[in-house]
Amino acid sequence: MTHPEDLLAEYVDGTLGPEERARVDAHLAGCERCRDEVAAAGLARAAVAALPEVDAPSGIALEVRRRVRGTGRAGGFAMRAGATAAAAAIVGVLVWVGMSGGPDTVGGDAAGEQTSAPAAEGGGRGGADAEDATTAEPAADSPTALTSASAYPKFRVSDTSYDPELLAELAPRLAEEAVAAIDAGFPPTARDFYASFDLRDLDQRAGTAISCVTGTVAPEGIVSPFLIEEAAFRDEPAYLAVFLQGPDADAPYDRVTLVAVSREGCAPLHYAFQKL
Amino acid sequence: MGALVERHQDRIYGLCYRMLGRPEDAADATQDVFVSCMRKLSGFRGDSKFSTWLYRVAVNVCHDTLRKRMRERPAEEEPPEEQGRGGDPASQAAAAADVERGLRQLPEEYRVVLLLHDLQDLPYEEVAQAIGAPLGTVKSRIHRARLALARALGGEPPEGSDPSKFQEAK
Repeated sequence: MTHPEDLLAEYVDGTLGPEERARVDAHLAGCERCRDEVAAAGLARAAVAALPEVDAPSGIALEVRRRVRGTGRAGGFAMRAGATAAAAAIVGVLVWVGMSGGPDTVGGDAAGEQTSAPAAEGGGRGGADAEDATTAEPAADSPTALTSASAYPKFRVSDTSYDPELLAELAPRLAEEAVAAIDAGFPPTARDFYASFDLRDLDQRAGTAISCVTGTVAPEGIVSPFLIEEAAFRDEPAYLAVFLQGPDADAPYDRVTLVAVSREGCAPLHYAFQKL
Repeated sequence: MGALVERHQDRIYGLCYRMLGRPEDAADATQDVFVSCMRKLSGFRGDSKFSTWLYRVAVNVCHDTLRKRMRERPAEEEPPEEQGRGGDPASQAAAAADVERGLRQLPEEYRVVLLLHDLQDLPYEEVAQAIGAPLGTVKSRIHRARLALARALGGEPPEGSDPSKFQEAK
């Protein structure tokens, strides 16, 4: 007799489909051994599930912050940041990543250069549906017309409801726009950007938006705001924030970072990036 | 950063605590997990949920901690402190202590899949990503881990169900 061991865990969970469940039921009707196993596994599963939750001790976040900042040059991503302020900005981006409640897809891998999904024809609904709004400059879809930090971040309003797939499609197009903007004079590094950027130059609506999306990221950080769009994410009112990011404040940008942030509470919702 | 840690710290700490058995080790491991993640954001390939990636880092940190502990204190065996939330009736606390003890008797690879799936409610696919094992392996391992725990808890060993003779699906 062949025992359906590969199905018994899901049988105990109650997650088998009807056909497989019927198959297991038929087997159990004639197999005492598997019936015993299912009973024992069910008890063990319930015992583990009933364990009380444990609370992490206080102070972990503080200690993590101290260690990250204290060893900012130690290696990996932090080492490439090269400065404490830069590390703080990276941490800010990480906050967004960590707060993602959904699939947390990052549109691109560490070694690769493209998002996991191809760019949609015409750049996806985000670009197609967007309309210019109360930005300091018009022409939201014409980054080449804006060649100084004071013209950025572009701010626009759309009725687009983004989702992870749509952001993954949009990312390559935004990378192309970013490259074009840099070629046309967008400050080539974050330090250059912030040398001429003043939040007070933005109108109130755009200022509110960027204050919301930057959250814990210091303006002196390594991410330069490129585009803020008042839109939605999975039908929740949200800002789509697009940043240009380099390994440190003095290095040329090497990726465009997309972050969806809820407009109510400014909670991070999703994160994606595209290598330039 | 605080929001990131606060959002995930209880689940990560809970995993580390039940993997390692000691609150102080679990707290250290939890810190290590978040510090490691922040230093290795570029290693996040985006082919899994961020929380799953976090679990994978946690599994590796716990594994390293256990390996280090075995090297340094191979004969030491300490019961963990009870950390359940207050208000549990004594019988429930005793039952939880029994389960904790049973889990500690399991091999690490069994304990981790039970904690991820049965306690933390990760679906099979995410467990597979977190431990770096094929999906079929995870399903069969969870079943065998449950049987092993049932036996450790003193239940009747199912006749003819020696988990060690099952081959893991690949």
